[in-house]
Amino acid sequence: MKPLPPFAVLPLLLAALAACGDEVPPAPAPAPFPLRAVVDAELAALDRALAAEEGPARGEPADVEQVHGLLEMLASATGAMREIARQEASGLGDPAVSELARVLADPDAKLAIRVSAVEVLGAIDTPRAAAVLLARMEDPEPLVRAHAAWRLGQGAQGWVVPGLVLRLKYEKDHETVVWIAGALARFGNFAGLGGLETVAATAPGEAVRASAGARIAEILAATSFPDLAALAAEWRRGDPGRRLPAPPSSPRTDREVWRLLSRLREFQLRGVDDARWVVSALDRRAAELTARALHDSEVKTRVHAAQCLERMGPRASVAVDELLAGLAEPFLAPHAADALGAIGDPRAAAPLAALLDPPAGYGLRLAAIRALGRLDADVPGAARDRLRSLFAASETPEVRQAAAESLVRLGEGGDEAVLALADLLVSRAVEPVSSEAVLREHLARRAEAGDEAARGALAEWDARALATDRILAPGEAEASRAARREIVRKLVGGGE
Amino acid sequence: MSVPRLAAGLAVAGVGLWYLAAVFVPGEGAAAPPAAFTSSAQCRECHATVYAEWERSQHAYSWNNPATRFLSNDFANHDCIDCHASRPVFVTGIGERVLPREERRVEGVDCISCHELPDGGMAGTIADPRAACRPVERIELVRPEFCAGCHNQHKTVDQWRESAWPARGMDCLACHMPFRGGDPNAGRDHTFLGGNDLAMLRRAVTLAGRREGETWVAEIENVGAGHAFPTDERSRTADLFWRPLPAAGAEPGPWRFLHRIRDPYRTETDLPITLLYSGERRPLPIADPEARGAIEVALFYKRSPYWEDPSAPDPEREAILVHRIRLEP
Repeated sequence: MKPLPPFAVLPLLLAALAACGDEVPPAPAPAPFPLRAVVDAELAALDRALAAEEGPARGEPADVEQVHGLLEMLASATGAMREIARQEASGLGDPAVSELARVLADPDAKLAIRVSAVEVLGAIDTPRAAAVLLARMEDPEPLVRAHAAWRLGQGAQGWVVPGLVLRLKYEKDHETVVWIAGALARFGNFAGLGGLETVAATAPGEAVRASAGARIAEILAATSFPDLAALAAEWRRGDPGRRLPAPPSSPRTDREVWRLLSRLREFQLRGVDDARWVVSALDRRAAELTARALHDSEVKTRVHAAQCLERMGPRASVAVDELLAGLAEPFLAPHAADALGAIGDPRAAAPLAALLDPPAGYGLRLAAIRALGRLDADVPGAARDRLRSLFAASETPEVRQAAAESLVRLGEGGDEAVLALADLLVSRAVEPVSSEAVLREHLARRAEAGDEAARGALAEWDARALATDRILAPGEAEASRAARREIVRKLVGGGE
Repeated sequence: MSVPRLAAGLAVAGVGLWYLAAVFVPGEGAAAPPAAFTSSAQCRECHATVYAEWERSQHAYSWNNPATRFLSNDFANHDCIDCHASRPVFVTGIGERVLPREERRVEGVDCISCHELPDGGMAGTIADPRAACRPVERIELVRPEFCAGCHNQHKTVDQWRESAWPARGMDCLACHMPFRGGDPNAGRDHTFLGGNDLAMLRRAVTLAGRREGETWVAEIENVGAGHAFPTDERSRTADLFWRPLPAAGAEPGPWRFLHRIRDPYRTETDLPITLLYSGERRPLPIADPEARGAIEVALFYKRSPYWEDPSAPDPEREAILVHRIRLEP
C-alpha cells in the first residue's frame, strides 16, 4: 500500500477530532459596540437643516456709501449723534455684512473705522455678522481682536463659543484674553477663568490688570460665587447643583462641535490638538455629542473623542454609559478607561475592576488599574484586594507602579506602597511623573490632616521640584527625584 | 460514543499531532516566544546588537529627552504622545497617523512600535520561523510610508518626495538606517542617526562666502539632506552668526545674529517659515558696515529655538557648531 502523503493526514485528524468531541456551547460574545460614520452623518444632517437659514443674504444689498458714512460718524461723533449712528447701523442687517467684512479686512483702512465696523457687526448680531467677527479674531491688530471679542460677548450668537475657546489657545494680547474670557462667561462657558486670573495677577500694565479684575468681579456677581476658585471648581464638576447659567444650545452650536469632532481624524496632529483642546473646554452638551462620536467608524475619532472626555473630567459624566460600552472596543478601551477614571463616576468601578486581569490586554489593564485609583470610595473591596495583589506580585514595574499609585490614592497601600512609589522615582523602567503627582497628593493630604512632619516634607518636596521654565540639564531631573525619594523615605521611616 | 470509535479517533489524532509538531514546531535553539511583548527589553536577549544601537538612538530617548519634556510641557500637550509613545505602526496602519499607547511609554519609539503586528507577532525584513519571535517578512518596514505616520507630521516625508532624492533611489533608510559597514548581510543600523550626529549635520549643508562689492554674502546650501534642513520637530533650529575677525592676539567679540532657519511653532504666527529645502541655496548678505573687513561666519544647530538670553545669545556654549568659515578680503 502506498503511504499517505503527510498533508492527507490533516483531514483525517480533523474528522477524528470532530468524531471525538462533544458539543461545547460557544462562549458568549461580548456586547457589540456598533461603529458607523457618526460624525459625517451628524454634520450632513445639521448642514441640511441649517442650509435654508444660511442662504444668500436677504434684502436689498446695502448702500455702500451709507455704510461708510455711518462708520465715519461712529468713528468721530460722540454723544447723541453717535447713538443715532449706532442705531441706524444696527438696522442695516445682513445686507451690510459683506461690505463691513471688506472694510475690516482692509489693512489700509483707518483703525478707528475698522473698530467701528466691529461695533456695527456686533449690533447687527446675526450668524453672518458673528462669523465675520469670529474670523477677525485672527486680525493682526490686537484692538480689533479685543473689540470683536467684546462685541461677540454682547450678542446672542452662542455658537461662537468654540471659536472663542480656540482663540484663547493662541491669543497673546492680554486685553483680548480678558474680553474673550468675559464673552465666554456670558455664554456660560468658564474656560477662560484661568487666563483671566493670570492676566489680573501678572500682566504688565495696570490698566489691563484692572480690566481683568473688573471682568472677574462681573462674572462673580453674575454667578453669585464668592471667588474664582469656587466657580472654576463648579464648572469642572459639571455644575451638579445647576448654579451656573445654562450654556446656549442650538443646532448651530452643535454643528460647531461636530466640525471640531470631524477634525479628530486628520493626519496632522496640529488640527487634532486644536479640536481636542476646544472640545475639552466645552460644556455638558458637547460631552453628549462627543460620547456619540465614540461610535465613529474612524478609529482616530474614537480614540481622541475619549481623550476629550477624559480632559473634561466630571463635566463629561453624561458620557459614562457610552464609555463603559466602549470598554468592549479594543482600540478605544484603554482611553475609555482613562476617561472613566477622570470622570470619577461610581458606575465605572465594577466594569473597571473586571479588567484588572487577562484576557484584558496589557495596556487596558494598566489603564483600568490607574482609573480605579481615581474613583476613590467607590472601588469595591474585591478590587482593592486585587490591586494589593497586583502590587505585591510585581508582574512588571509598570503594573506595580500603577497598582501602588491607585492604592496610595485610595489610602490602601500603607507605607509599603508609598515607599515603592518613592523608589520608582529613580527607576528607568517607568515614567515617574504620575508617581510624583500621587506622592505629592499624599503628602498634601497628610499635611492637611495636621501631620506636621508631612507638612515639612511637603515644603521640602516643593523646594526640590523640577524647574518647568527651561530645558533641564543632563542628570538634573534624576538628582531632583533622588532627593525627593529621600524626603519620602525619611517621612515614612524607610530612610537611613 | 463507542470505545473502538474513540480509540480510532485518538490514534488518528496522535498521528496528526505528530505531523503538526514535525512541520511547525521549531527545533532546538529556538526559545519559547513570550506570551505577549510588554517591553522591548524582551528583545535584547536575542537581538543584543540591535538593542544596543536602539538604546543609543533618539527613538529610545523620545519620551525621556529633557528637551521634549520641556517643549511638550511634560506631555501635557497630548498631541506629542502619539508619536513619542506610539502604538505599533502595523496596528494603526502603514502611512496612517499613529495613535498613543498606554503602556511602556518610557521606552519611547521602541522595537514593538515598529515590529509588532496586529496579531501580536513580529515583522522583520526576513522571515525566520526558527527565531523566538518568529518574524514574518514585511517589506513595508523599509518604505518611507512606514516612517510617515510620525515623520510626516512635520512634512519631512513630503519634503523628501518633492526633492530630487527619490529619483536617485535614496530613501529614509539609505541615510538613517544604513547597512552596518555597508554590508547588506550585516543588517541595518538601528541608531537612526540624524540631527543628533555632527557628521550628518556637516554633510547636510555647506557654508561658503563671497564678496559682492563691499559686502560679504554668506551662502548656505542644502546639499546632503533629502528633506529640509532642519526638519521634523519645529524646535530644531539652525542659526547663522557672524563676527569681525579680531586682530592677531586679540579676543574675538561676541557672535552677531545673521539668519535663522526654522519652521516656527503654530503659536508663533508672526514668524516666517525659513526652512532650507533640499537642494536650496540661500545667499545672505551681511550689510553691517563692521562686516566690510575680515569676518567669520558660523552655522550653529540647536534642538530648542530658545536662547538663555535672547538679547545676547552664546551659541558656542548653547548650540552645536556645524560649520565655521573665515572670509578675508
